[in-house]
Amino acid sequence: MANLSIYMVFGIITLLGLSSVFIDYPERMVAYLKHMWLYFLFITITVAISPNIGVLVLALISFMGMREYFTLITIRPQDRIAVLGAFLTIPWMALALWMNWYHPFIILILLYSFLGISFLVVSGGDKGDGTVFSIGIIVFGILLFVVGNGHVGFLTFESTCLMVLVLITICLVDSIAFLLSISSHRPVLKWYVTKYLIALPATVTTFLVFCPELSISRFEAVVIGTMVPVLVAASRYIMIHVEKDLGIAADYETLRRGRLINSSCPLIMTVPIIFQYQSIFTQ
Amino acid sequence: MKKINSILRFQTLAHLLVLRPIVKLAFDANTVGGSHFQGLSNYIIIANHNSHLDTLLLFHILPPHKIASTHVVAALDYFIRPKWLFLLVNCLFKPLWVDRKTSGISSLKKLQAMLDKGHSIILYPEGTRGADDKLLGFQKGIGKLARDNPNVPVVPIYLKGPEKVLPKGTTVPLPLQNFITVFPPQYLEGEIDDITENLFEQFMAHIDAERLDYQQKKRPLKTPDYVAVIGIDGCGKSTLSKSLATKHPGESCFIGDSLLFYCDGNLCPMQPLITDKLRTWVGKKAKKAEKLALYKVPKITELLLRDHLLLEIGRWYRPNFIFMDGSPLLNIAAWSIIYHEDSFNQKTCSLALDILSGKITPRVGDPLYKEFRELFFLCKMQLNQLHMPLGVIFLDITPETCIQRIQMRGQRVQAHENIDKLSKLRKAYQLVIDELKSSGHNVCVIEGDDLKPDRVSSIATRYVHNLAKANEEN
Repeated sequence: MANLSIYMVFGIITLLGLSSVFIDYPERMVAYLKHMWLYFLFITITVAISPNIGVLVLALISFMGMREYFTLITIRPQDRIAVLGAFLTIPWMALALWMNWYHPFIILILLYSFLGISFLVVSGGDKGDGTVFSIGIIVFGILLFVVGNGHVGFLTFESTCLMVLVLITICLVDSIAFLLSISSHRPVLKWYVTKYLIALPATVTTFLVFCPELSISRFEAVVIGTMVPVLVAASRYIMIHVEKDLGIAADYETLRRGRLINSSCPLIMTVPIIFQYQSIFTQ
Repeated sequence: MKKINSILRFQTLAHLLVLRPIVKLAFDANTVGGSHFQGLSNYIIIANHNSHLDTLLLFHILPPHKIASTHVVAALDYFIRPKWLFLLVNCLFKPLWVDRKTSGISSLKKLQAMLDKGHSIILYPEGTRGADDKLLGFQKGIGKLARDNPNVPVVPIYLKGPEKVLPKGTTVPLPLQNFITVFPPQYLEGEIDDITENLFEQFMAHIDAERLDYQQKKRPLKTPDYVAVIGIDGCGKSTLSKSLATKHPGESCFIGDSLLFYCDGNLCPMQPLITDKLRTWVGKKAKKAEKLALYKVPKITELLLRDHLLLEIGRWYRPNFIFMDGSPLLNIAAWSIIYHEDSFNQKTCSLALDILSGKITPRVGDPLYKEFRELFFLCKMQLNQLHMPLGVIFLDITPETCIQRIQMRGQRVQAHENIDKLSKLRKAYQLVIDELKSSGHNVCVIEGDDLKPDRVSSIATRYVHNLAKANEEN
C-alpha cells in the first residue's frame, strides 16, 4: 500500500508537471491530459475509496467515449436499435468488473458483438445495403470503448501498480511525440515511429526501476517497457486514419469533437495487450 | 433579487436540478455563442426543427432566470394525448398551446400577449419538424411578430444532432452529442414578407457556414483578411479606414470607435455583438485616463477585445474585407516605446511582434520579460495570438500637424497627446513598419502633411485594390 501511494504521488506529480509544461500553448495536449486525469481519477477512487465506485467512473468514461464515437459515425436509420444495443455492453462491463470476473466479460461481450449486434442491425429494417459496414463500425466502437476500458479496469484490479506505470509511460510517450511534432526546432525524423520510440529508454528504465514492486523479472520489465512505445505508435498510426475518416481534424479543439477518442485510444488499445502479456507470460 | 426569485420557482429548479444534468449526460449539449443572450430582457428564439429534443436543448442553454419566462409554441392537438404527457409538458415548459385547426391569427395574438408581458418565446418558423437536417421554408408568423415588435430581438439558433438522436417517427432517443450555435440577436424592420424572407436567407447562410465548419472535410472557416491603417493620434487613420470600407466593393466592415458594416458602399444594419459593446466601454475608460499609467491597462484590454472582435465578425458576418483603425498587434508593439523607451529598438520591436503574434514563446526567465512585463503577462494568459493584418497603411504625419488637428476637433486631449509622446510614437511606428517591410509584409506608407484627404484616399484605395487582387490570385 505504501509503495502504491508512492506510485500515485509519482504519477500525479508527473502529470502535473506535464500539464504545466504544455499549458502555455497546445490546447490539444491540455485536452489530452484532462482525459488522462479521468483514468487517474478511476484508479484513485478504486484504491482510495471503493472499487465499486471506481467501476462507475470507468463506465462513465466508456459511455462518454461511445457517445462521441457514435455521434461521429454515419449510421443508417435502421441501425439505431443496434447502436442502442451497443450501449448495453457498458452495464455488462461494469457488472463483470464488480464481480472481478474476466472470462465471462471477454467471452460474452465478444459473442454479443458477433451475434447480438449483427442480429440487431439486420432486425432494424429490411434494407440490405450497408449491413456489413454497419456491423463493422458498431463492433469497432464496442471493442474500443468497452473491451478496451474493461481491460483498464481488470489490469487495475490485477496490478494497480502496473496500471499506474502503464498510464504514466503512455502519457510520457504521447507527450514526447506530440512535443516533437509541434516544436519549431524539431529534428527531422526519417520514420513516423521514431518520435514514439525515442521514449523507449525512459519507459524501459521506468519498468526496470519498479520491477521489484511489480513482482516481475527484469526481462519482463524490458519487454513491457518496449511494448508501451511500440503499441502507442501502432495505435496512433491506426487512429490517424480512423480520425480522418471520422472527420476529426488536427484542430479538433475548436471543432468541439473527437477529444476523448483522440486522447484515450492509445491507452485503450495498449492496455489489453499488456494485460494479456502479464497474465499469460509473467510469473 | 428578481433574478433569484425567478430561479427559485419549481419549473426552473426542475430544469436546473433534473433536466439539465440528464441532458448534459445523455446528450452532451455543446453550445457556441451562449453569450448572445446577455443583456437581452426578452427575445424571440427561432430554431430549425427536426426533433422533439429541440425544445429540451433550447431550454438547456437559456439563462436560468429566463426559464420561467420563456415559452415554447406547441401544437395542442399533438400533445393532448396521453394526459400524463400533456401535464408533464405543461408543467416543465409552460408552452403556448396553439390549435393548428383554428386560424393562425388567434395564435399570434397569444404570442403577442406574452411578448407584451415582457416574456420570451421559442418559435419554430418552419411550422413542423423537417427531416434529415433540411430546412423548410419559414411561415409568415415570424415576420409579423418581428414587424410588430421591432424592439424585441430575434435570436436564431442552429441545432445540429437532434435529427440523429430522435428523428421524426422514432420514440427512443440515442445518447449522442449535440451542437448548438446561438447567432447574434437581430432587430428587424420592414414588411412581413421581406422580414420572413431575409430571416430565412440569413439563417440559411449561417447554417451553411456552420455545416462547413462541422463537416470540416471541406474548407474550414477562416478569419477574414483585414487592412490596418496605423499612425499617431490625429493623423486621420479613422477617417481613412472608414472611407476605404465605404469604397470597397462587396461586403466590408469598419472597426474603429464604432463597428460598421457596408454592402457595396451602403451602410447595412449590424446586429449587436457583446464583445463590441464591452470594447467600446473599455475604450471610453481608456480615453478618460488622466495619467499614462492609468491608460495602459484599459488600452491593452481594448486592443485585445478588438482583436477578438475580428474572429467574431469572421464567424458571424464573414465580410470580404475588414478595415481597422489601428491594429492590436502593431499598436501594442509600438506603444512599448512610451513605457519602455530605453529598451525599445529594432531588435526588441521584432521580438515583440513575433511574441505577440504567437510565432515564438520565450521561456520563463527570459531577460526580455524583465524589460517588458506586459509581454510576460500576455504570454502567461495565452493572449499572444494576435492577428497580423494582410496589409498595413501607415499615415506618417508630423506630431505638430496632428496636435493642430486634435485641437481643432475640440475634444478632450488624452494623456499622451502631446508633441513629446507623439514624436516617440511616430518613431516606434516607423520601426514597426521597417520591421514589417524587412519580413516581406505588404506595407503602404503615405507621408506628407500637405497631402489633401482626397489624394490620401486615392493612394490608399489603389493600394487596397492591388492587395485584394493579389490576395485573390493567391
